[in-house]
Amino acid sequence: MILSPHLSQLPAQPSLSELLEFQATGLVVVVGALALLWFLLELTGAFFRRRTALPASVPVESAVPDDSINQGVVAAIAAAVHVTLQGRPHQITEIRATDANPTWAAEGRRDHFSSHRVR
Amino acid sequence: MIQNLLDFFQTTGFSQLTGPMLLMWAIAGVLLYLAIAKGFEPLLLVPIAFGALIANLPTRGMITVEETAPGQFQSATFEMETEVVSTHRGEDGQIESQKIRVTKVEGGLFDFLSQGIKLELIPPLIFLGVGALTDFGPLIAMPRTLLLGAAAQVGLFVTFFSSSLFGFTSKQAAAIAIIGGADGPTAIFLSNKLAPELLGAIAVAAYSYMSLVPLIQPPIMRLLTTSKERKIRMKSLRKVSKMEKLVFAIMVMIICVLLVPDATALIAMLMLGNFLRECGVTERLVKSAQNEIINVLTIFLGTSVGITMRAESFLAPATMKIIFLGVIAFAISTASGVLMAKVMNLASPKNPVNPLIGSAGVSAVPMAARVSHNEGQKYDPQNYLLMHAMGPNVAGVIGTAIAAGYFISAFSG
Repeated sequence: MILSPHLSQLPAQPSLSELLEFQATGLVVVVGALALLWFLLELTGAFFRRRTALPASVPVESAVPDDSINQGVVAAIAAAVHVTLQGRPHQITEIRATDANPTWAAEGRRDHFSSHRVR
Repeated sequence: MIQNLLDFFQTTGFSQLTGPMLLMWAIAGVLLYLAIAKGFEPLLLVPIAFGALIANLPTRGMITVEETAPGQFQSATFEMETEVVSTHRGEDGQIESQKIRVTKVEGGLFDFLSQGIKLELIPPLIFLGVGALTDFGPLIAMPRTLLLGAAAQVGLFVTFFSSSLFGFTSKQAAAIAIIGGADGPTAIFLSNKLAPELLGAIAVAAYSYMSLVPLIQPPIMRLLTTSKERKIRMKSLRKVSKMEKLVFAIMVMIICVLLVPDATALIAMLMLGNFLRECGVTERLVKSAQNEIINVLTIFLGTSVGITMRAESFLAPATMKIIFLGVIAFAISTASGVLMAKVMNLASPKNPVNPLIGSAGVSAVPMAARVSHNEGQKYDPQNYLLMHAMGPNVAGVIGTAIAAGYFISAFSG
């Protein structure tokens, strides 16, 4: 960076006014740089927020309530889906039991065993 | 036989021990005690203290010391012997260029290791690891906390002013002021560039105060805030996507390098490490940067800094002044961060920030953020400020690197 001759020639033992001017300039540089970053982050943030905005949700009335599923189970499944999809926009439209499909049980066992050191 | 024993004694290190050396042993002992028994920044203070002990032993073949000025000793100097292979002369007979072959290089182990600091290699490489360890998500989710990181740099410039009044030269004052940024690698980087004769004292002050963050900051935070302000709950941070984090790393690097090219080494390596972390396809490189690279370099950095702490240069009045000015820098940085948060609340009362997170604007990642969180929980145990405080905390790292770039721009010419 090429600073003005005045700034680059700050003497080894500067006067009070030179010191004040130098530190004021430094503060303006640092605060200005971070303020510029703030502005740019607000811009990019607005862009990404709009991009990942959720699509219009289906009205609740249109969903078919199923009293046979416990509401606690629905909440647990919704939480699991949210974690698995890492917060990506999603909508659960249907929850149903899969007949004799051992995939999730197998995944659970694999995850459990892989957390141990097998001797 | 007695004469032989006396002659032998003269060849041992015992005959070369001096009082100041023994005093430095005690200082190294205190640093080791703080690191091991009190857990103050042990990863850095242990190698620094051990290096200081080595520097104050009558070693042979480890360190070559040169007296650069009366009473000023410089380590990390090796000697080279060369021979001229060919000489090219211009039309007027003046030598234009020479080809030289190095025939012999002499220096101790630490002379070579310390080249990592002298050539400014280790601090930027440590920043690579810091970048790989840092999640900038909280800062991206709440970018206005960049102002808190900026406010915390006030301490640097006030200390620069004070140091000049204390009789230090402008370059030395700039190197001392950066202690207020609470960023060890940046402090070492800057002091090596502007005031290498003060490197040991500045590094010890910087790391000591970083480790004392939980003791220094809370009284200042309590003094400047009301009980009501400490209980402010902040809105949950939004989730930041991977693409947004990647754009952030590139954008910050470009902006900072364009503004202060002298901070390129620090900023570029910080953002490279972070980009590796966030891109998700360089897992092996990230693991190396987060573990092996940063750990190996920390050992070398610490010991290399420690061996600059020779009694002749460390036991000087300037060291005490640096220690004093360092704590002033730290306190002002903390206070200005908290006060900036209060100003932001006046400007935006509907979406207030808890002023306790302002103190995290000094870098000291993540300890300063943890202090903000712990202080907040004392007044509202259900208030989780940690992630909110990480925003100003990492903003402080960027702010200190920019301030260092400004000082280098002004003085290295």
